[in-house]
Amino acid sequence: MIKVSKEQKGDVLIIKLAGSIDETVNFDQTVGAVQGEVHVNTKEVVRINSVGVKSWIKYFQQLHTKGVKVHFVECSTSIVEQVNLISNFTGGGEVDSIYVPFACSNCNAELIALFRTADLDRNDFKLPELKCTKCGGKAVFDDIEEEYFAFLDR
Amino acid sequence: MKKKLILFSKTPEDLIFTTQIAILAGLEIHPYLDARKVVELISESDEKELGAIFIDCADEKAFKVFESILQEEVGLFSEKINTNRFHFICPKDLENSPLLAQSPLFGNFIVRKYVDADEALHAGKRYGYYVRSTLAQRAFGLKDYFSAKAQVQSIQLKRSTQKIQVVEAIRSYLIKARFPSRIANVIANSIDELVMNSVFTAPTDDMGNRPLDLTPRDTDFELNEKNQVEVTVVFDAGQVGVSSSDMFGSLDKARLIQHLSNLYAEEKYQIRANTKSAGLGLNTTFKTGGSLVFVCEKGQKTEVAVIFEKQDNYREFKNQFRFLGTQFYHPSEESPL
Repeated sequence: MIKVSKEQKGDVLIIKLAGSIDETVNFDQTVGAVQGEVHVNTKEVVRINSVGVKSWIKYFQQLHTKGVKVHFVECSTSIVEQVNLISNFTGGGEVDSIYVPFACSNCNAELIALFRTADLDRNDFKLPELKCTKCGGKAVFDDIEEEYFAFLDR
Repeated sequence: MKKKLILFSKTPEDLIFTTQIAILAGLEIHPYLDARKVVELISESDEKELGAIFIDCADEKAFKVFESILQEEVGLFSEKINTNRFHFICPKDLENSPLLAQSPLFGNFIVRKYVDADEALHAGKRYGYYVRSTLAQRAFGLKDYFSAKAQVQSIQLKRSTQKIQVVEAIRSYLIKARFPSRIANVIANSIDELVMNSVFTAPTDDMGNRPLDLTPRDTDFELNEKNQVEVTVVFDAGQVGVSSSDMFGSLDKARLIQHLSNLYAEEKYQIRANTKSAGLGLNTTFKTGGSLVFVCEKGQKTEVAVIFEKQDNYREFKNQFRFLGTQFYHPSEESPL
């Protein structure tokens, strides 16, 4: 089940999604009519199934067609995975920032760090060295680079 | 007399991989470097003597050569050819093997993730249990793809909407069992897709139509008699597997392989929001590290299983050895569809 919260900041509507996106989601009802510019924050989206994917694409393609500027911010790893797997997942929207997964090489803790896609592009996907917030051990990127950052090359 | 395991490969690790399989499945290994020798052995053997045939498909050209020789000497649609017995070892994913995916020989597909002897041995242990189960009259039963120490739990779904609870329960269990949360979410998603297929895509009427295919997936209805769906979870120290089974046996092999071969990252495979087809979910499952096994007896039963190896981090999880198994049967015989 998805939880949706909305906040208007100036001309920009910020939508925060949290939970699982599945067959129970109805973006038209839960988000409603949108105009101008929207920032969709998916930090708390843990998973999305195939029915959720189709609802997502349908909704954001409609917004794009209506001239709404959609920016995806703080994309969770599950959303980044879909962006990489499906060419039309963003429905014409821009991916501004993503969470990048790390794992501690000492205690195996799962960690995430937020990066702007423009910075990743500029640095040729080179990630800085990070320390585990739990034990101070070395945190290493925990995915396959050519797959996780594939959408940046499109 | 032991059944034969035939290997056609120049890759040394494939020999280690299949030797381990032969030990676990009780087969007699026959390794060859020459396609003609392989075809000769197939030709002179009774179909029941052939336990498993492993073909290295490092490049599509080599596969086509093998297929041509087999066609000339035996015939691709001969009674000697049981596609359930064919195992193709490829270095890359299915979308990179279009000729194999379209071949009438397509049976089982292995992504060769092992790069040294130790990894080949480990992969052989995982795949060996599956091969052993394919030697039985029917390969139903996820527990048979695991070691004897594996634990099994089955749930009979009462209603279509119970899927959400089942998926969440398994996801919570995995997190308690110290699976990294990202891995638990991927496994939960796979179960979600499997169960949704069993509930909505599998049911067929007498005319072969799929009456629930266009039904919204949040529709609540009872799952009784023919519509019953069973979910089974199996785990041991190294692996976790989940299967979902229905009583229709309506899986279409060609359509299935087509779904799994699509590369949705390419522009030409854009997702259409108005179709209810289940291919996307299975495709994603296979790409995110899971092995998939489809066992179908036409008109009787379909069991679809996903198997994941337990890993401490996502990189290794995603890069794990994996395979796609298909076993298709007619109701009253052993030959493939």
